[in-house]
Amino acid sequence: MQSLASVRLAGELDLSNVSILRAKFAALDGPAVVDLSDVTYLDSTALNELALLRRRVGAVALVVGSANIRRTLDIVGFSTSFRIVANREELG
Amino acid sequence: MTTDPTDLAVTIAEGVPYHVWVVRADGSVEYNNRQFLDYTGLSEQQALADAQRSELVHPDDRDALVARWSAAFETQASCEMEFRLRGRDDRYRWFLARVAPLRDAAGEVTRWVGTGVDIDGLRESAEWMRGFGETAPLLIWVSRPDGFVEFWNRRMIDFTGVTFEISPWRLVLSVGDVIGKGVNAAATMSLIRHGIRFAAQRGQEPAEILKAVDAALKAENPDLTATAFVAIMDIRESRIRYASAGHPPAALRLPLTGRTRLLDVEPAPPLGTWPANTLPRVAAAPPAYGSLIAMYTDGLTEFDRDPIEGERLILEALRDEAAYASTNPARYLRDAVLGGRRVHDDVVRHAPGPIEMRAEWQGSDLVLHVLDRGRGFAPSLELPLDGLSENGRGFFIVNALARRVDVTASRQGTHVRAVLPVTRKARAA
Repeated sequence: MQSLASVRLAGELDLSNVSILRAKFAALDGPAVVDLSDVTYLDSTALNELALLRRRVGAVALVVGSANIRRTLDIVGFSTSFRIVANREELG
Repeated sequence: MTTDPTDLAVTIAEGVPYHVWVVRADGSVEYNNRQFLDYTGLSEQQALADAQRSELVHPDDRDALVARWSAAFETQASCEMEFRLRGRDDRYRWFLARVAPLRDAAGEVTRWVGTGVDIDGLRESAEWMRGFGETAPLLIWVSRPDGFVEFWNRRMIDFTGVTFEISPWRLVLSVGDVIGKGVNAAATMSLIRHGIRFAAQRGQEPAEILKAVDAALKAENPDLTATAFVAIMDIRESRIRYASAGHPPAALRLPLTGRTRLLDVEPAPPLGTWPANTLPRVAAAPPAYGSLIAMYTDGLTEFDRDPIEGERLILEALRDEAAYASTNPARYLRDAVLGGRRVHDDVVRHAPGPIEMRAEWQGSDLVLHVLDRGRGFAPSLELPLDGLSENGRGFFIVNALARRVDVTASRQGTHVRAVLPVTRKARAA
């Protein structure tokens, strides 16, 4: 997984900065890692972009450090469609 | 059947406090018990004649009764019906009749046994309860001792959320949230609601309902996704079956103990994103009568960017006796969870930077100020030609509602000033 394309995000991801998120995801054209370790909030718009990214590139691993972000991802059922890890080392 | 008093069946039939009659396999009446004869005033012989019996049924109920009995006789199935029967005092009373076939060892119908119970008093009280139930500011339902629920009032149905009956005992509860904003998102939510309703009325289960909507969403609007929680409550079974597509789980409060919990759920991904062969697990919960079920969107749990704390607050508010006693528990929950806290507003699509909103009384007028860092805009009093356009619709609505709207632009940003259509009442001296 280390050789996969990777995007690192930080702060609150919501409607106000979704265009930045879209631009970063547009550069990915295959299985990828999205590092959410420094993300403090994901609103539904950002979750939508993650879902669309996964649908387009096939496989996406998410690096999640915070319990709140993990809970958000569990609620929206991403645990079954994304690989979710606590840190990049777990990606092997 | 013989009327020989030594016959055990006849002895029982003569002793029970309701009407009993027996019909031969060919449809002719063979026997009526004493209670039937006493009530109707018919002789034993008269009561064997179809015409005499039929004449005692209220004219408004006669056709339906004949149709129901004929259908049961044809299909050899049990049937149940309510109708008014005239007594010897010329007064009609309501009866609940049940007729069931008796079969021999080979399964052939040999006779039919009917019973009729006087439910006149019950119907009267049920009518009263129905009238009271729809007007009283309470959550009301009526159930029989065996748990069969006979009646939910409108408030009960409204409180449980977006519900509709797919049969008198089967309710669909659903809540959804389109991931996105604006008219397109609202139109998509409408599509989802109709999809849920359509699939539910075809008798599909929660997982299949969600799968149908996932497919519809992919076909109709592939760039939008949505979350949804769908539950089917069967009030005969006192059971709720549910599944989720990326939606927050409903919260449940049990009666008596007041215990609360989030319903266990293994959500599928949001609708519109399901990989092939996805089917969420359907879970079941047995809420006792008097339970409260709270369904909500993430706006309630993520107001402070903390979904874990948000869920804890919902459960805490639901545990509160005041939530249970409230005439509008949903509003109580919302106020209890959000009250006194800053609600993050993400409506920032149309203006860069922070937005300031302020309301103030100017004389008897309430004036709303909205200030942003935008470069101003030319207000139009017309709706945009493109029905899905996001530009101009909001201002049109504000302008239509407000008494007056002014827009001024400066180097600092744009100032919209709206005089709202409310007037301050003079305080009593």
